[in-house]
Amino acid sequence: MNAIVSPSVKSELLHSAARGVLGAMAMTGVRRVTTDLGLVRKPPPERIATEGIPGLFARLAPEHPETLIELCHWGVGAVGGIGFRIFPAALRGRPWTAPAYGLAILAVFETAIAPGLGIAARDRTVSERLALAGDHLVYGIVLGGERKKA
Amino acid sequence: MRIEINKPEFLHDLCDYLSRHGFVAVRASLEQADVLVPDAGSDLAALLLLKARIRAWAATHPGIDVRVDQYA
Repeated sequence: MNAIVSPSVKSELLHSAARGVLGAMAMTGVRRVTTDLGLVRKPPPERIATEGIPGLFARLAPEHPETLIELCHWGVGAVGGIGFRIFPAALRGRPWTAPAYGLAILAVFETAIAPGLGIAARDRTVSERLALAGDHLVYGIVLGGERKKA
Repeated sequence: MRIEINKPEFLHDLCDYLSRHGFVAVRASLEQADVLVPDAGSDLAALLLLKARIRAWAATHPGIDVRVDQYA
């Protein structure tokens, strides 16, 4: 691994992963509001747990499923951050790329992950879709905050 | 929480199964039952435990669909 990935690249990937975690945390903050306002009935991470793989979450964290769901969400955020870092610097440097990347992650969830886990995404209202798009935009904006340094 | 089954003739069997696994399941109508999860630490934990248990039961009962209403 050391021979393939230089320390500077490792550092950049870790930095991107950290920004991804921060972006996921920011999304969670937005969802606290949109869920409380009734715009979002159940956020995607919770839907994955309760409608996709409830047995796994019930087994792994029967006492604290909320914590496990949140940690998984941060983990996905970190992976997303690393994925974004792999994009060419010229593309990452454009102001719309990171927000679009956040929306693309939502699109992947809606079109591939949710159907694969048997989660029905069709029953979402327009306001719920807009709210979810909004929090994914926030994720992208936080992720793209590093572009000035790139 | 309330569960609803698409084949009412299996509701009694499902309630029995849930009761044997620590749930309190009481028939509410022909195709519905109210379920309590005594040991759950939160509503989400209760939902996960119930859904996991229902999936295990449904795996041996093909063609049966059970819906869970967590807000009932």
